[in-house]
Amino acid sequence: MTNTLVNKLLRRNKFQPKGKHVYITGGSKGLGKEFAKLMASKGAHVTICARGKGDLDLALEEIKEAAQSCENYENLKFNVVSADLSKHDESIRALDEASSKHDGRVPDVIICNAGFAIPGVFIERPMEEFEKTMQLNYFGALYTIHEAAKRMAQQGVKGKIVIISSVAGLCGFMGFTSYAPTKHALRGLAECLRHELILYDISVHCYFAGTIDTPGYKEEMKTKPKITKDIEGDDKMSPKEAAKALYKGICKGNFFITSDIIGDAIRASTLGISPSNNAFLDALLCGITWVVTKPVRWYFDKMVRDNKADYPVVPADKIN
Amino acid sequence: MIFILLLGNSLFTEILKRDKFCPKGKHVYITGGSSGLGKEIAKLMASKGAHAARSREDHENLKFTAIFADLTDYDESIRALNEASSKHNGRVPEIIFCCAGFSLPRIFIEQPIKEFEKTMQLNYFGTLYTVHEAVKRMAQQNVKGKIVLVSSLLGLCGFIGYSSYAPTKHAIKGLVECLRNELILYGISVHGYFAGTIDTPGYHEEMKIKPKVTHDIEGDSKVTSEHAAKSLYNGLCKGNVFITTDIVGDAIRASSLGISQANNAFYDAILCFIAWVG
Repeated sequence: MTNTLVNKLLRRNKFQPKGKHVYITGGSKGLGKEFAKLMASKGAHVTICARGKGDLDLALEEIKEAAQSCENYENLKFNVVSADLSKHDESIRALDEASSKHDGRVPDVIICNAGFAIPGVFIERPMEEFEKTMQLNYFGALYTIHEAAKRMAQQGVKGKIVIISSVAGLCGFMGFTSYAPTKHALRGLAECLRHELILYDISVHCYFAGTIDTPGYKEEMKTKPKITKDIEGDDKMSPKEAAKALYKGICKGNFFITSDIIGDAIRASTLGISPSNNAFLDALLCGITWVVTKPVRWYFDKMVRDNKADYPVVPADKIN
Repeated sequence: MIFILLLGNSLFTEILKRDKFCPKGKHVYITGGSSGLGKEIAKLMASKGAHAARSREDHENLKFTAIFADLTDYDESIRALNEASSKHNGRVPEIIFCCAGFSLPRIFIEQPIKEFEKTMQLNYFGTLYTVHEAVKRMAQQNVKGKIVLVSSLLGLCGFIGYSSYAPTKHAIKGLVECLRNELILYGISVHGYFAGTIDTPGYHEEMKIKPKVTHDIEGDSKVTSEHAAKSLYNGLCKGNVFITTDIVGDAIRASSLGISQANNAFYDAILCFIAWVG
């Protein structure tokens, strides 16, 4: 308990966005846009990157408006970059464009948020969907981080890298076979980089967000199997709340950040050798989760078992 | 009170789970089966009376087959499965072991992006292509099969040097978690093997480029492929979903369970506590 209190005091207010350049992928909608607005309101320079130029321009107006009350508003730079981040050379070009507005200096804070999910029944979804999902969610983040970390090291910028994973990066169930592996992969990357980038004084954070009510979420609902919807439940938060939870976690200096108590419980019980946020509370959470986890899993499994009839398979001898 | 419940439940579950794996007479399909862990699994399965898609001398009615394929290619993965099934009247193999994989440990900012891509392509997609097709056929043919995916302790944690490898093994863990739940639909069981360091030809290749600090953290402790195959087999016989090779692996597994299945709730709770302090 003492150790935890000491740690909390030491880690407080580790994040000061004022005057820093924050680069956000997937920054034109949802969580990315709200976090961009939040950063702007704290006096940061912001560059958002996404595919659609139209969405980017609309988001830019909102970001500028969010920064109006800042004392250094006149000096702040807000920019957009249109790029397909699932491609390596586009990711580099986007970073170049963003840096060119700041005399070639790499952004201080990188938020890798671009991603999507196409939930569905495993054997029914085409392989292209699995490949595309990994390509944007994991490689789309990796390409940017790899280049940015290289430049931070070369330029002596003691920057910050924030990787947006998901609760689906800590556990998994029916319907998310194309998505959960991509978010788990991001956790693996975050764990390795948290450790390795100590070499260059670059800090790393990983956000395991719960369900956020975004345009992306509405797209997901079109293909999501009913069992998956039932297991997930209806609990979701606004992108604004999700952005605030992320900001709070970064300010506390937490490596693994979550948006709600359930996410926190799962996080605390999947720590392995990763740093805990508050060893005392995490131990309590982990203990509670241990007791609750078995009935929860039984319940998830029961839902699949009870609804087998809704997912018929054409027997082999009837296939032409 | 909870302590006693946990202990009681664990003992009960242990008895129920015993001997859940019987490979005799079954068709076992192993990717990465020509060396290291895959080869030892093939030998072990053959010794238990299974048909193995791996080269060995014919033994009475048992069929042993070797198939050459580049499993990073989707079409090749399907072709390989077709070839294996063709020796069994088109019936999909009952047990699939996905062992094919490799690692190129390097300093992150020095590692070429192509290496990250190649590693994911074999370790994750090389597994996914086979599993996706095999599960489809198991469901269609009503074969209540078994899928065993080989991940790694680096699928549960990560440190310097493994940024191209750990994500691929974490991805496998994510796949195991989802499939364990979803494939209840078809009566197919799923397992994930979180192996520690195994002394294989692949390991020797890794050592040529591994950063010193990575090697120091890992230590020199490793097991033979034979031992690793036996640990996996024992785990399968116990019906464990997440399987490891040794106590350190077990401790990491127990402390990163989340909502996943414990192997033995009482033992895992103790391990988790020790891991927390450690």
